[in-house]
Amino acid sequence: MSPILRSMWHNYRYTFLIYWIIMGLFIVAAQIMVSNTTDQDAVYAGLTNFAPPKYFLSVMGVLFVIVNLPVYVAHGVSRRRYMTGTAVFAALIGATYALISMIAITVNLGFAGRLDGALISRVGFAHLLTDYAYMGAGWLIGVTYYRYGPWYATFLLPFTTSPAWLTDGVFNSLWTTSPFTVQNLALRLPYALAVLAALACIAGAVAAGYALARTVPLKPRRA
Amino acid sequence: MSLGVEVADLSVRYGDVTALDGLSFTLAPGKIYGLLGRNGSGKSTLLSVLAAFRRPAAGRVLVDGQDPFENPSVMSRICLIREGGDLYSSARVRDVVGFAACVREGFDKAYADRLLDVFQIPRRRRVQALSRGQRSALGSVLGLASRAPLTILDEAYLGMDAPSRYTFYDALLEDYAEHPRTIILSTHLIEEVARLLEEVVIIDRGRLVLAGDTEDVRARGVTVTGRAAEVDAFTAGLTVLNSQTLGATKSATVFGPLDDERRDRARTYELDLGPVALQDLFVHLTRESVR
Repeated sequence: MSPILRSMWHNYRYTFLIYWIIMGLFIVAAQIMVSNTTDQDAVYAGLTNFAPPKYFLSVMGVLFVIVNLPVYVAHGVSRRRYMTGTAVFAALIGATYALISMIAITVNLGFAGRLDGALISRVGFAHLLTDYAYMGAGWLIGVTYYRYGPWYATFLLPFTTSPAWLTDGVFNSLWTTSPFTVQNLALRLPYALAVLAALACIAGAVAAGYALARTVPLKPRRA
Repeated sequence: MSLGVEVADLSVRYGDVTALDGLSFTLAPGKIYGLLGRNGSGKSTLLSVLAAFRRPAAGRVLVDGQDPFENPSVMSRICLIREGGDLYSSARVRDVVGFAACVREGFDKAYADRLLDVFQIPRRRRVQALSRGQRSALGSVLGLASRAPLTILDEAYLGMDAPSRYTFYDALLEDYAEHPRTIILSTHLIEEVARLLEEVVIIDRGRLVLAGDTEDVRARGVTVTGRAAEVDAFTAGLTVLNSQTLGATKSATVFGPLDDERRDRARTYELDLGPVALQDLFVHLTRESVR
C-alpha cells in the first residue's frame, strides 16, 4: 500500500466508522418507527433517497484539499503524487460506500418482498457514479475556496457543484424528487445515456480539479 | 547527502506587492546558512519557493540542479518547517510523528521520539492543545528528524523559551555533525544563532543585501574598545553603527574595513579591535538599504 493510501486510511478510519454507526442506527430507528406508524416499507431508499453517503463524501472531497493537501505538500509530497494517491483512495471509499448502501437497499427491499436484482444493480452503479461525482464536486469546492478565497469561490459554486447536480439530474436522484416513495428509482434518461453523462461529469470534475490543484500555492501559516 | 541551491533573478508578486525582486545568490551544499531580513523582507516567500510551496512569478530556482516545483525527487528531499507548522491540528502528537514517518523518506522516528522526550512534548496531547512553545518544539523535532538533505527552519523555534531554544541549537549542531546536510535558519534571534551559522544571506525588500561567509561578513566591521577620548578620536570620520560607554571606557562598532595605517593608530592609542556583532551589522545594512 502506498504511503498516501496508508496515511489517508489512518487519518479517516474513525471518521468512516463513526459515520456508518450513526447511519446504521438512523436506518434501523427510522425503519422501526415508520413501519409501525405508516404503510411505507422501503424506508432507507424512500426516506433518504440514497443521499447521506453522497453528501458526506462531498464533504470528504472538500477536506481532501483544505485539510490534507497543504499538510502532504509540506511533508515533501508533490501535488500530483498526492492527487493520484487520493484519487485511488476516493475510488476505494466511493466503491465501499456504494457497496454498503447496496447491501442496505437489498436488505430493505428484501424485507419488503420487492427484490429486483436488475433494478438493484442499475441503481447501485448509479449510486457509485453519484458518489464519485459528489466527491469531485467537493474537491472543486475545496480547491476554489483554498485557492481563490471565499468571495470568488462562492460565486463559482454553480460551476463547482455542477458535477453533483448534473449527475443527480441524469439519474433523477435530486433530493427534491418525491422523497417518500421508491418510484424515484426509475430513471428519466435511458440508463446507458445517463451513465455516459455521469461519467462525463466525473471526468470534467477530475480534469478541472487537477488543473486547479496542480499549481496551487500553500498559504502562509501563522502561529 | 546535501543539496545546493541556485537562485537567479527570482521574483514573486502578491497582486501589487513585490515580495521578491530579482533575487540572485548561490548556496553550496553541506553548510548551515542564516537567512536574515526584517519583517516583510521576503524571507518566508523565498523559503516557500525553495520548498516548492509556491511557484515564482519570474526567475529560476534550482535545488540540486533541478527545479523543485512539482518535482517529486527533489521535493521529498526538502523539509521546510514554518512557525505555525503545517500539521493536523486535531491530531495527537504521536500521530503527527507517525504521519511524518509514513510519508517522508529518511524520517528517523526513533530520533524524533528521543527529541519529544528532550523537549517534554506529551505524545497523547492534540496539536491544538499544545502551548505555542510546544508547537514550535514539535515543528523543530519534525525538521531535525526529517534528516532532509535541505532542511529549512523558518522562525520555527521562535515560540520556544530560551532554555528550549538552546537545547534545540545543541541538538541541531549534534545532528548536523552526524548527518551533514544543508540547513537554512531564518530568524530574528541573530545573536543567538550567530555561532551556528557558517554563511549568512541578508535580504531586504525582496532584494539581496549581502551574502557570504559569516566571518567575512563580520570582518566588514570592527568593534573598537578603549578610553572614550581615544575611541572618539579614532572613529572620527568613520561610520559608527553603535556605541556604548561605561565609565571612562567606550566601545564603538565601526562599519567598513580598516587599513594598516588605522590599525597602527589603534595600537598607538592602545585600543582593542574586535569583530563586529552580526546583529549590529544587520541593523545597519537593512536600515540603510533603500529606506
